[in-house]
Amino acid sequence: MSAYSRQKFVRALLSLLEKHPVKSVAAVAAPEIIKQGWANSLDLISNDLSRELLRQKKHLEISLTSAYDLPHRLRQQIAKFLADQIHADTTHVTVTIDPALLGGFIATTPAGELDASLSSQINQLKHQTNG
Amino acid sequence: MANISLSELSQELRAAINDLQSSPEIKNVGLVTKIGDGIVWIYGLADCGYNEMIAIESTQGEPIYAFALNLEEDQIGAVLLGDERYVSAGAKARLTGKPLAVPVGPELVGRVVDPLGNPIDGLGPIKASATSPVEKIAPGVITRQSVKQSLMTGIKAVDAIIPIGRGQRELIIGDRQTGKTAVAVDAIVNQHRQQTGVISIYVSIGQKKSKVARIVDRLRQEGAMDSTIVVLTSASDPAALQYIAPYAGCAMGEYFRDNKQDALIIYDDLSKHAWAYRQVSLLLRRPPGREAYPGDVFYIHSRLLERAAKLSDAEGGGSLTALPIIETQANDVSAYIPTNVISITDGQIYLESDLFYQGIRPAINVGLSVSRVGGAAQSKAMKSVAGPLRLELAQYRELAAFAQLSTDLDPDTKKRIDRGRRLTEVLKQGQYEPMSLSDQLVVLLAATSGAFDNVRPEQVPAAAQSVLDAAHAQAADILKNVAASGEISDADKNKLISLAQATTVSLSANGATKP
Repeated sequence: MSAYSRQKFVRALLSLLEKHPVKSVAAVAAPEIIKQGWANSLDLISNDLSRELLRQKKHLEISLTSAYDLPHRLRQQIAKFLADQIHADTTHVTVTIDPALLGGFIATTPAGELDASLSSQINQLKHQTNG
Repeated sequence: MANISLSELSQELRAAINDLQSSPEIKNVGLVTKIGDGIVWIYGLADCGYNEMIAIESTQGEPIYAFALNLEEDQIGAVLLGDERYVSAGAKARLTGKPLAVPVGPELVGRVVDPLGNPIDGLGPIKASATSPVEKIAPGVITRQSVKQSLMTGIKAVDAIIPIGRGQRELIIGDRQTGKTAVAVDAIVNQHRQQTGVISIYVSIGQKKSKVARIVDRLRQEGAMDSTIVVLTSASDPAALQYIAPYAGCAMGEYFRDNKQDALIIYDDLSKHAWAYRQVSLLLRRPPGREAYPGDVFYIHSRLLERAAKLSDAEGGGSLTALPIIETQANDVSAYIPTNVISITDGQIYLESDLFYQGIRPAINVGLSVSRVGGAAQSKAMKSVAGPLRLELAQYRELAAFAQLSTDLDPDTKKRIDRGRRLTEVLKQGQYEPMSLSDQLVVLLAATSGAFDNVRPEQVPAAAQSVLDAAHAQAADILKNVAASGEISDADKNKLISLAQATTVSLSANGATKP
């Protein structure tokens, strides 16, 4: 069991990143991550970092998954909408294409997920009609 | 299929799609990081509340639900309410915003359900009118009134010496195979036979399915299932379901309590409930305490049993009476869980295996059993008989050690011992043979007035039945008055005593005298 929580570790990481370059912080963090048994949870650590960035710096990391490539203007609109909802000052969008969505998009942020995909709507309709 | 035009079909599809709630909403989504032994660990969901229901994506398509029990900084520990084989690591988890709730209402009466309210008796779906959270705060002091109306179990030893009132918590405690469930089931059958209007809820926690099947079958034969709900978790069910079963049953009982009705709930048994909670807590990595139970093992029972109450007239006057059952090991009532529950309840009915094997059934140790509500929950008629009965039994217990020397004792002591033996015989009763108040009164009056003193102890049950038959034949109006009013005048009492003595004299003439 870890001696301290991952949240505390992430907060410490962020405060180090303010003063030191990324490479040296990573070199220091890596052995600690292995020692605490978090080597297989790097995705969770990066999610925690995103959450902490939102909380401290009001910076919003958005992971946008869409069925097709979205035009730049639409991506900006989605980012602005999310920033307004979550009260963030700055945003950064990462795009992934997943044809399984059929249409629409899923925007994942540290504060929650906005699911506007066609596949989810169809599942919802199926669920409603099945009672 | 009727002729439908393409334009009509596309219009219907557009209307259906427009009807969907499609307002953009940012939902909190978590990720399953670990799953095993019925526990799922979820990353994210920072807004999750304690006991909140979480919907987890499953490989089957339909979400599987869990409820959150461990709220940690990095993750949430939730207990699965479905099959963990269909949940995989990486599955998304969403908050429902609602605590764990079960369907409640009169639609559940007569049905056998699981702790989530799903029917498992094969009699079709249940369309319940309402749902209620499984965890609720018990009624406050001001909303209650004192327990003053009796709940008759139909068992002479209980109704006379350890009376139970509506809204009371009376523990049934004893070793395995001493008749604990039999006492509880007789109480349910008696509610039906006497048409008391009390709704019964039998909660099985970790019991054998064969045992519960026998109980349900018996209740159906007696017609008592028409006023009973059975909440079933067996030994093969997950510990999570065994843990929530009593709370689910209590929520169902509270519906009737809060709607001006009386309900009786039996938790069979809370020892297994404590074991299930211990298992869940250890899997959630909570620190173990005494006997590896978590630190709040007292609280799981105290908050459950506090929900049994008699409400004030302003709140409707309904009641929920609880009969929790605890199984002891080697008659050890000073063990951890038994002492916990004894300190919570308003009395206990203590069943001993020694008495059971001696043929004293129900095997109630009247010396160690107590009802803290006492005479307040007894009718006046029963109170008039119970006092002398209790005293004479207490005297017999004190002198029981000398019983084997009865030939060398003074006449008064011998008389007390002989009377005690006959009272012990009178208190024996068959299973599924609950008696009405008037019948109990007849038999106990006969016993305490000495009508059986000249009958051999082994002939006392037959003599009691003869007295009862005679009372039904010759004093039916007195019995009817007692049943209606709960009181008996001195004149009627003397009539019944005379009738009993006359009946036993005629039995003596036929050779049923003591040697």
